[in-house]
Amino acid sequence: MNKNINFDLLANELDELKRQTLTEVGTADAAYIRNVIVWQRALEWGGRVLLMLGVIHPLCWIVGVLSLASAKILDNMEIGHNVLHGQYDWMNDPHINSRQFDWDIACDGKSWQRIHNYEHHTYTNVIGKDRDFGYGLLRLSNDFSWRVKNLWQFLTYLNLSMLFQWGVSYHELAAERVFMGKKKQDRPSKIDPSELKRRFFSKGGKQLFKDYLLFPLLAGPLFLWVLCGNLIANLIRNLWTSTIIFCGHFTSDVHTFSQAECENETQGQWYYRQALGSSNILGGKLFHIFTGHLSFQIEHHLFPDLPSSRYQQVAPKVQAIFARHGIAYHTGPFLRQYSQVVKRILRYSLP
Amino acid sequence: MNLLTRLNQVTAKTLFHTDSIGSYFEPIMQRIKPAWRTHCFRAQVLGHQLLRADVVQLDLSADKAWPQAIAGQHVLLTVEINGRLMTRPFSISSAPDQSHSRYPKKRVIRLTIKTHVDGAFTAKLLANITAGSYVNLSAPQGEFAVSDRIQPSTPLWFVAAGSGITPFMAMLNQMALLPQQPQNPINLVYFAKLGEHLYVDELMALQQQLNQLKVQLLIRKNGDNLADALSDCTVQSQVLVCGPGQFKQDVDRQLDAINHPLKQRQAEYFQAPVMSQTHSGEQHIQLTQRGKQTQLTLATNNSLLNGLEQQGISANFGCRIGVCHQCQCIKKSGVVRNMRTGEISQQGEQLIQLCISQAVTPLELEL
Ligand code: FES
Repeated sequence: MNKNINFDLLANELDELKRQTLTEVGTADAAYIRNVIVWQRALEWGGRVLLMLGVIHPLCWIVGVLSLASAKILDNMEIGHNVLHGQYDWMNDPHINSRQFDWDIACDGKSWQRIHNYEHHTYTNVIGKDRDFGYGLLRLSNDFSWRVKNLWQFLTYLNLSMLFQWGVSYHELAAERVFMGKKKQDRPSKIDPSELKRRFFSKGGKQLFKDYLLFPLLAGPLFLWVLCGNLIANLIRNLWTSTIIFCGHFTSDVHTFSQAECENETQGQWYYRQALGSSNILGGKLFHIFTGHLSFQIEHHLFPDLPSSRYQQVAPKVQAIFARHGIAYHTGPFLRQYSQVVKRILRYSLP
Repeated sequence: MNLLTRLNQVTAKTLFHTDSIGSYFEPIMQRIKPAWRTHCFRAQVLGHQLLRADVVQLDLSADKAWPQAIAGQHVLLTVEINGRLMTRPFSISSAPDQSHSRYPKKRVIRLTIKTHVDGAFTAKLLANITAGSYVNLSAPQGEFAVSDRIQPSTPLWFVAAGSGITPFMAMLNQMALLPQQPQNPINLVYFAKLGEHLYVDELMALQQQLNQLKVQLLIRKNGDNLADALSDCTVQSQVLVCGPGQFKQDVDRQLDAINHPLKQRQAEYFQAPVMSQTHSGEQHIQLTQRGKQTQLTLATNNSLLNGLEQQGISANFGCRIGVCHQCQCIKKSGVVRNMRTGEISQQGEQLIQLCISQAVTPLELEL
C-alpha cells in the first residue's frame, strides 16, 4: 500500500461526503426507485404480451424480447442489486428493503447477500478472501499459479457470462464445497449445506418453471416462440450484467491485495482498497440506470449502501478527493474498459 | 392459513418473487392511489384543526374495510414524510358511532395529536397531509377500554393527564350515545397545565348529558393534587389511567395507599424517550427471536451486536463494520445511535444494523 497517503484525512473527507449526501436523501430518491420499479413492471408485462403477439408480426416478438430483457436487467441491476444492498432501507417500505426483497434471477437473494454484500464488499480484491475475484474459475492476476485449464479460460469466461445467473446462484455452494471438493477448514460457514441446496433448487426451479414452462404453456400454440423469447431475454440479461460487473473489477489497472496487507486496516485504508479495486465506466443517464449505477463502481464500493440515485451526484466529488490525495480514479468509455477486461482474461490464460 | 392466502403466496413467490401479489403491484397502484399500501387500511383526511398551538385534531374517514374500533383503542398512523414511511400510535378520541356535524354522513375517526417542535413525525405531520389526501391506518389495537362485564354499581374512575384525555373522550362519547345511560358513577380526573385542558366545552356538554359523570379539571400549579382528587375512590372502583409514565406511577402510589386491587386498574401510558442511560451504563432491551421474547440489559458503550453476543445470543453478521447489512434487524421502538456517523435514529419501527448501533433508550428488537 502507498504509505504517502494521509489515510485518516481521506477517511474523514469520504465519511463527510457520505454524511452530507445522506442528509439530502428523501422524497426524490423514494420516488426514483418506485419509478424504476413501475418501468420494470411495465417493460416486463409489455414484453410478455408482445412475445405472444409474435403471431401477428415477428417484429412484435423482437420488441417483446428486448422489452423483457430490459425489465430483467432493471430488476437485476438498478432494483435488485441496490435494494439488496440496503440502499433503500431508510424508506421503511415493507417491500423495498434488503431484509425481504428477492429478485427475478436464479440466485436466492439471501445467498447473494452473504457472498456479495459481505465477502466481496468487505474483502474487495483480497486474494483468497474475495471469491468474486475470478469467481473461482478464472485466473486474473499473478496471485494465482497458472494451470493448464487457464489456457482456454476465455471460453470459460464466455460460458460464465452466458450462464451468469446460474454462476451467481451456484457461487455460495461452490465456496462451501457443497457438491464437490473438500471443505476449507478456515471458512466459517453460517448456513447448513442442506439448507443451501434446498434454496438453490427451490429458487432456481421456480425461475425455470416460470420462464420455460408456465408462460410458454399459457401461449398455447406459440409455446416455442415464448420459450425462445424468454431464453433470449435471460441470455441478454446474463451477458449484460456479467459484462458490466467484469468492467467494474477486472480492467487492467485494478489492483489486488494480499491478506497480510489488509490486516488491521483502518477505515482510510479500507476506502483506499475499495478505490483501487474498482473502475468506472463513462456513459449517459440511461446507461447508468441500466448498469444499476455499477458504472459508478468506485462510488458504489466506497458507499455500498448509499442510494444509487445519488451516485451520479457524488462521483465528481469523489474524483476531486482522490485527486487531492493522489489516488488514481479509474474510468473510461465502455469499449476501452471492456477491451481491457478481455486483454486481462487472455493475458493470464498464459503463464 | 387459509387456501386463498396460500395460493396468493405461492403465485407471488413463483411469478413475482414477492411475498404477496399485492406487494408486487404496489408501486403501480400507488400511481393511481398514492397512499395505497398492502399492509394498511387507507383513510382520507377530512380536515384538521389546531386545538392549541401544539395540539392538532385530525379528522379521518376510514376505508369501509377498516374494523370499527372499541372506544379507548388506538391505531397506528402511517404517513410518508420526506420519502420515509413513518408510523406512530395515537388513541382515537371519538366514539365509534359519534356523528360529526362538520362531516354529515361520514364515518369519522378523530385523532388528537400532541405535536413536538423537534419531533420527526408530529412536527412534520401537517406539512405532509392536506384535506382530501390519504393516510394509512392499522386495524384498531389495544385493550384499554371499559369492559362490558362491569357491574352497574362499580364506580368508574378515569384519570388523565395532558393528552392522555384522548381515549376517555372516546369512552365518554360512547356512553352518551347508549340508548340507556350507564348506572355507574363516573369520575373524570383530568390534570393539565393552566389553560391547556382539551375539549373543555365537549366535557361540559357530556356532563349535562350523563347524569352520573363528574368532571374535575385540575391544575397542579394551582395546588390541585392526586390525593384530593382521588379521595372518593374506593377499593371497588375500576380505575383507568392514561398519561405520561411518571403520572401513572403517581396514581399507582395513591391507589396502593388505599389498598386498591391491581386487577381493577387499567393503564395506558407514554414514556418520553429517555436519552440517558441507566446509572450503571446499561440499557434494557426486549428481544424477539422466532416468536420468543427475552429481556436483556446491555452496556451502552458497546455495539448491539457485541452486546448480544456477550449475552450468548447469536445474531446474524458478516463484516462487523457496517458495510454488508447482514446484521440487520428490526427495531420496533426506541432510539439508537449510529456509531459511525453519530446519527441518532428516530423512535419508530425501522431496520438497523446491529454492528454499528448503540442503544440510546430502551429498545424493542426483532431478530
Ligand atoms: S455485520 Fe456487516 S453491516 Fe453489520
